[in-house]
Amino acid sequence: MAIHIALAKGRIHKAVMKYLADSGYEFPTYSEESRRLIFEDAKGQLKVTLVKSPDVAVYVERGAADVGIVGKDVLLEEAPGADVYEVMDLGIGCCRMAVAGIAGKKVDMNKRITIGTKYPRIARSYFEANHHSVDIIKLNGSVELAPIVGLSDVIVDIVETGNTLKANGLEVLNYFMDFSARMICNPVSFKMKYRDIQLLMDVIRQHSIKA
Amino acid sequence: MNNNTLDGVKMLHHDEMRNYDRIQGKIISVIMNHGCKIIETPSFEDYDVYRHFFPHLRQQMVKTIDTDGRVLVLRPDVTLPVVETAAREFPRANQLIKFGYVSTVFREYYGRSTYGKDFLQGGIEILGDSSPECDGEVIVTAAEILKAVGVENIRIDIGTAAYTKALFEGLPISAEQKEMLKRYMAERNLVACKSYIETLSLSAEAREALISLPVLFGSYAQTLSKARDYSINSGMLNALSRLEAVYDYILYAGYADKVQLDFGFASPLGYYTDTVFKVYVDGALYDIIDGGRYDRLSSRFGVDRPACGFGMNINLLYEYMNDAGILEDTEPSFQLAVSYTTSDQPLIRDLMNWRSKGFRVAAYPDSSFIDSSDYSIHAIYRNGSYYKDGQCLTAEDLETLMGRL
Repeated sequence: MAIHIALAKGRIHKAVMKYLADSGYEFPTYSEESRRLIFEDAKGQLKVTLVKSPDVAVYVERGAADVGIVGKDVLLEEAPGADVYEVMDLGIGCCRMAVAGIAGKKVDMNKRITIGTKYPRIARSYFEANHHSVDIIKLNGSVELAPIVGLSDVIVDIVETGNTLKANGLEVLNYFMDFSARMICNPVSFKMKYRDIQLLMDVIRQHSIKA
Repeated sequence: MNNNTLDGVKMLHHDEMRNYDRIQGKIISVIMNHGCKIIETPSFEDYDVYRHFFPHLRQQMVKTIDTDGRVLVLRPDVTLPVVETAAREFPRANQLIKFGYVSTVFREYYGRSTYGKDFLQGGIEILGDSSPECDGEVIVTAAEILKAVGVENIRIDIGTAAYTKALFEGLPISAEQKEMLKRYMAERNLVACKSYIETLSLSAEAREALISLPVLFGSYAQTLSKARDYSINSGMLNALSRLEAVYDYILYAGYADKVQLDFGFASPLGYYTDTVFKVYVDGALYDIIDGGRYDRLSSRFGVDRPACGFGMNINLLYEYMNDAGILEDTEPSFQLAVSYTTSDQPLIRDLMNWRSKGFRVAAYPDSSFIDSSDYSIHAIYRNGSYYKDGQCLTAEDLETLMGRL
């Protein structure tokens, strides 16, 4: 019984494919440059599909894939309440969610503030948990522009190096959440293919600890 | 009127209706063989009642407003009205009530490639019997239904909410901590669950039992013995003894080889109080039947009466049967289609005569198009005679041909 894995395209799939290759799984048709989206290993034990990160949970929940690997940020934002097991923290693909505003400018947190973000759900739950009233403007990219052009008071976004912020005259006000890649699993597959899935988890765990 | 198509709604066509009809007929006959009365609960229910008892359905329910301004919901489930009506109409707590149903419920569902805003649900509810044999009977009824519709390759997973409850009751942690832990388990978040358990001050045995619980599943004997090892109080052991009695019923009924145990899926936040079970059919990654014992629901309507039941999603069952190729073959809607230039009395008399004998026949003017997959025999009618493939036939000849189909 082969296990079908849905991987979030990008950093995560590259890391995981490397772990699998290092553990002796051969994917004859895979290369990082390839445009193929589906691969099978030579022994027919694993089938890998590359999908856009917000879709990973959909594939797994509906049973089109047995397991999926995707960032926790994406799970929280795109698939809250999905009926899947979250079985492992891979400790890779780490990132931090931060609130950022114009450098040196104080934001009055006592009034209703406007937030520009790609992560409306995460932003709202953070601010509401801290008893602030907020208006959310959902943006799809170049979020750093929002405070500069007066679209929002602050932004909520993933910050890796902080260089983009600095280049646009913004600064981090505070970091509020760390994310890493998680393995999720279809609840029925988890039972039916428990042993194979445990094996896969062991393989990935070995490598992600080293990393 | 563009862009007005809704997602998750569709018309069922002739062949689908016929197959649904056959499946429903078989389900109802199995349900009645087990002594259940067939019922149908109202199409509309009170929103406030559902919001109170089944808060998890709050967003999913389809709401509507009646002429008095009261908020109603379209039947989101059958269990609640059954228990409520039984409490009102049959108040003797020890009276045995066995109900079965096949009804549309208005709730979203997802299959592998299907999605619907409503589905056909079949199920039974047995009230007034707290014995483990009752749970066994409920589970066996579910299995018998699948057998009756030709689905043999099934897997029955059984668990017990009482075991989980006893484990939680015995833990020396605060109510808030228990709630947090229960939430992580209900969300199936094993990562958060495990790291949270490690922060709690617990005995090594309790910690091990908690960490193992979500993945405590597998073959009957092996899993039961593990569950016994993890037991840290008499409540947990009692839950296991009862589970064994349920299993015995299933064993004697001949379904033991289909049974696996699963202690992980008894959501600690659910309303089930003891046995819980799900039935999976081969290859489908979702359960088709879901049920269990819910002994405390009826008392909230004033009659303290135990209850056990299940519901099955017949749309998902249909989808599986379709994929597996075990639906019955389709047949053309007409056995005989007659096309005519001019209709007259003898033709209409012949049609009426054939129909009264149970044949499916119709006549239509030459100017209409008819799909060749819609009929088995096609004939042309001209001035009192029928022609098929250039041959002149009488009404009796055609009847004989239909009889041979």
